[in-house]
Amino acid sequence: MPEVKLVNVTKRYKKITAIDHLNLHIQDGEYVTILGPTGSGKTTLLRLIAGLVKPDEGAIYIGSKLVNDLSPEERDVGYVFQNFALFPHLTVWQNVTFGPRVKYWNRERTTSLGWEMLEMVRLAERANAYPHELSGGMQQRIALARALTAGTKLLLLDEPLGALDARLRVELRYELKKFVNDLGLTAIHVTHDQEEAMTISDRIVVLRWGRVEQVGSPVELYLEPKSVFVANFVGEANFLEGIVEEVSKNKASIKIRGDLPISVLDVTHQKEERVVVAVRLENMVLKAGEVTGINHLFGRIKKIRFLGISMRYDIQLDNEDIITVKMPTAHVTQRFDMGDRVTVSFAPEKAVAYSYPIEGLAKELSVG
Amino acid sequence: MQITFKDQIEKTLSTRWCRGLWYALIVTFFVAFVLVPTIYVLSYAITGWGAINLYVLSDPITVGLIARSLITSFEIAGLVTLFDFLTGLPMAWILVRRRFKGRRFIDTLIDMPLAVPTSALGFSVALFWTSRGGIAILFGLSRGLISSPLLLVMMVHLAFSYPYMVRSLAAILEEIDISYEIAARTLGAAPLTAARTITLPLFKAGLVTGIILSFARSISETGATMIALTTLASVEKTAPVLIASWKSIASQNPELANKLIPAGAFVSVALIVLACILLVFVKIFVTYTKIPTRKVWPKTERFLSRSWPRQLRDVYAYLFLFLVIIIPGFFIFVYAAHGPSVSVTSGSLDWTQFWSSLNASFSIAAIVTLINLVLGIPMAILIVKGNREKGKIRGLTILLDNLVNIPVIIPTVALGFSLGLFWTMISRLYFPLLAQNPFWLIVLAHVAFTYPFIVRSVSGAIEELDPTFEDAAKTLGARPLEVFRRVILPIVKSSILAGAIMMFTRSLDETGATMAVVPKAVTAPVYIVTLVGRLAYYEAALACIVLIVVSYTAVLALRYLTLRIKVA
Repeated sequence: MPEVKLVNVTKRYKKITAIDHLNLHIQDGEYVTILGPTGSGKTTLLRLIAGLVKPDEGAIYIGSKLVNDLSPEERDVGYVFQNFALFPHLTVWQNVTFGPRVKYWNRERTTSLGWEMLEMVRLAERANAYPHELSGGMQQRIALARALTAGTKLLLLDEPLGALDARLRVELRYELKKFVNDLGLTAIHVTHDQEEAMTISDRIVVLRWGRVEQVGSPVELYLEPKSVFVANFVGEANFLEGIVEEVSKNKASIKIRGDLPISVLDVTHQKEERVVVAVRLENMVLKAGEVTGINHLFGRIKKIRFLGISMRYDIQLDNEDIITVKMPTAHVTQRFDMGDRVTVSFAPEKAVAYSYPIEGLAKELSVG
Repeated sequence: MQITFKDQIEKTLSTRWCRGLWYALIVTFFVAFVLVPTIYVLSYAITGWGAINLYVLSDPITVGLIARSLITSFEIAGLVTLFDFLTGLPMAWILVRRRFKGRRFIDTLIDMPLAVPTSALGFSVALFWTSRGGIAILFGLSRGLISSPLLLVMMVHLAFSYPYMVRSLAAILEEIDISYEIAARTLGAAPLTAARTITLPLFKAGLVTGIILSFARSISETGATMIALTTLASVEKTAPVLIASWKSIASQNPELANKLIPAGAFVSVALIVLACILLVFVKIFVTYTKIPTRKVWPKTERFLSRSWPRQLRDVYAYLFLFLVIIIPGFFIFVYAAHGPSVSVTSGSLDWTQFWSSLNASFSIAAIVTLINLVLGIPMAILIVKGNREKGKIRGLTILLDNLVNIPVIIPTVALGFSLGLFWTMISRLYFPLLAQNPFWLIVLAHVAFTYPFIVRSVSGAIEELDPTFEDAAKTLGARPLEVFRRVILPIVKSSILAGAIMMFTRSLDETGATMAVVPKAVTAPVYIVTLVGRLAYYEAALACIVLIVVSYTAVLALRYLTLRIKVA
């Protein structure tokens, strides 16, 4: 039942357009994350669906029902807030059964639902505690139980793990996904943590300036980002500016700074067009000394960072561009030192060329 | 889903239409019963300018009298505020920043004068400084230590305005994160330097509140001032006392009313206008004056940060608290213990009359508190909601937000005078019965000046309330009325209680507004003023003690009851 459809939805706050003619269709039973930098309109989108703010234009459907004019209490959605918003004056039990009580459900049903949810989140023994007596992780689980006791099938999660520490965050996100699957819910999960989005979503909606930048499964987004912004925001990439030199049937050659030629399989661009070539950090290969070949660039090691499971090298190319190479620690066979002369290379099929962004590369890459 | 009758009612009451109607009612009440009556005297002064010109301005003696009373009032209020600040700042500092044994005791002591009706407190302070049994014993004097009426009035005003200053300074100090100061000290600043250059500049908001509260309390106090002036048999009058006495003369000699009512209106308007100008000036002055922070005197300030100057500061703060506030404030118990011999004249206390006045006072305070709880809390919600929303009603609510404060700044006696004029006019035109019913006139007057207390205290609490609680309740299916009843109300309960206690005690306290509305009113504080006027000191002292004990018990009971009632 709870599929969610937004048609041409716009929401403005004074001069800022938080959501700009947005269209989105979320299927029943899907786990969708809304991913975007701060100020991209993620939370506004969620609040629009919940009815906490009203759209200036457009239509919002939950199920097949137009809900534009329904107030939040009539929409039957579950909402988990970033700071949990557990009522401080009520016990865990009173918090969890708040929904059924304000809806005047009968007592037996309320009680059985309440216990069911508390047991699901494994906190039945803390029913009489007050929220401030619980740890952050417990509070998060109670907030989830509270949102679900009211019987909703649509769960809205506003950075539900944002207030927790790193380790707990990772642990709870799988638990969250499991609850949603077990209960057959539709979940819309707002986050700015791309790793979180990648690991739990069926689909990811990348939001930017109130518009949908790209929608797709995590794999799609990672492998085929539609813009420089997505390539940068979902996963990490090197970006090389250049001009298309020649386009043939199955490959294009591009001249980057310092007149260095590179070759990509992407043939969608015109000759003479200004482009940005994106290559994922992990698709870069690092070799000692100067080795010639297609897409082989020379430079010196500028910085070495050890990150545990991987190594990162910053290489300053001879044309002054900086390229980062990421290599699993287990695959590092050769020791590199600062200032070593090296060759970085990448296969033409691993590189994607994008038209040069209108607002400039720096603006496109900023995620603030 | 079963729909009960209660459910249906809540659903109906939560509709947009119903809420709109309710808010319209709330705003109408505020305008008709609080705002317009309060400032009616201004329009009266304009329409009645002829009479004012004829009877007041053309009579040099009256003009001189008015000018002197106004100057006296402002002089006293200014000095009282200054001393409150100089002694309140160290006290607030000690309360907030120090953790010592007996801190809670000191904390309660500072609040004590708030729970005691000012006329009783004033009488006690006046007796302490002027009677033979008071401080005079210490110096072996046969008369009181203080013989200057102005000084005495100042001592009286200090006693009841001091808690307001300490409380507002402490409140803001509590909010200032101590880590700023710690950061300054780790960067090498001496404690005093850190306090002066970091905390003090962040402090100005509290300073403005403190100054306005102390000043407003001092400028409007009538009962305690009258008592203080009587004990020294002084002919000197402050502006509120002048208004109250003129109103009382006018009610006894209707032939003089033609002259005295315009004169009273003129003094009221002058008092209102001058007080407002001064407060606006203070606000601007404090906001725009920069506390000098550039210059630092490391050696001097390090020296002054050593332990003995700080101990000296503490001693000074405690000495003031006990010598000027607490001991004089409770001297009345010692005085009464001396027995009837201390009385100047031996008039016997008419207990039936006293009990009925006490009864009237309590009834009025209870009714006023109830009315304002019902009508003030929605106003607070309206203001906060409107200010939060960026929509059309924002302009209206910001206006309301500021208008609500008006009765606080206006001296209560002027407010009472204005209300008296307004309701007499209304009753003459529409409800002839009202004029013959002093009880309800007093209720109306008290409703007007206590209204801001509940609105301010509740709107402050709701403003601080995280709006996501409300959102959470809504998404869980609670309708607006339920959100209010189940979430907002229980969380802001303590602020409602604070507002209620404030209204109750202020209503119980009030002399000026009561006398200016109904000169022959018999509320307990007015009765005490009358007793002192008859020089029946011992009887007045007994009455004061009863009033103190009863009102203190009432406050405790109210607190206990409200904490126990579960808002479910």
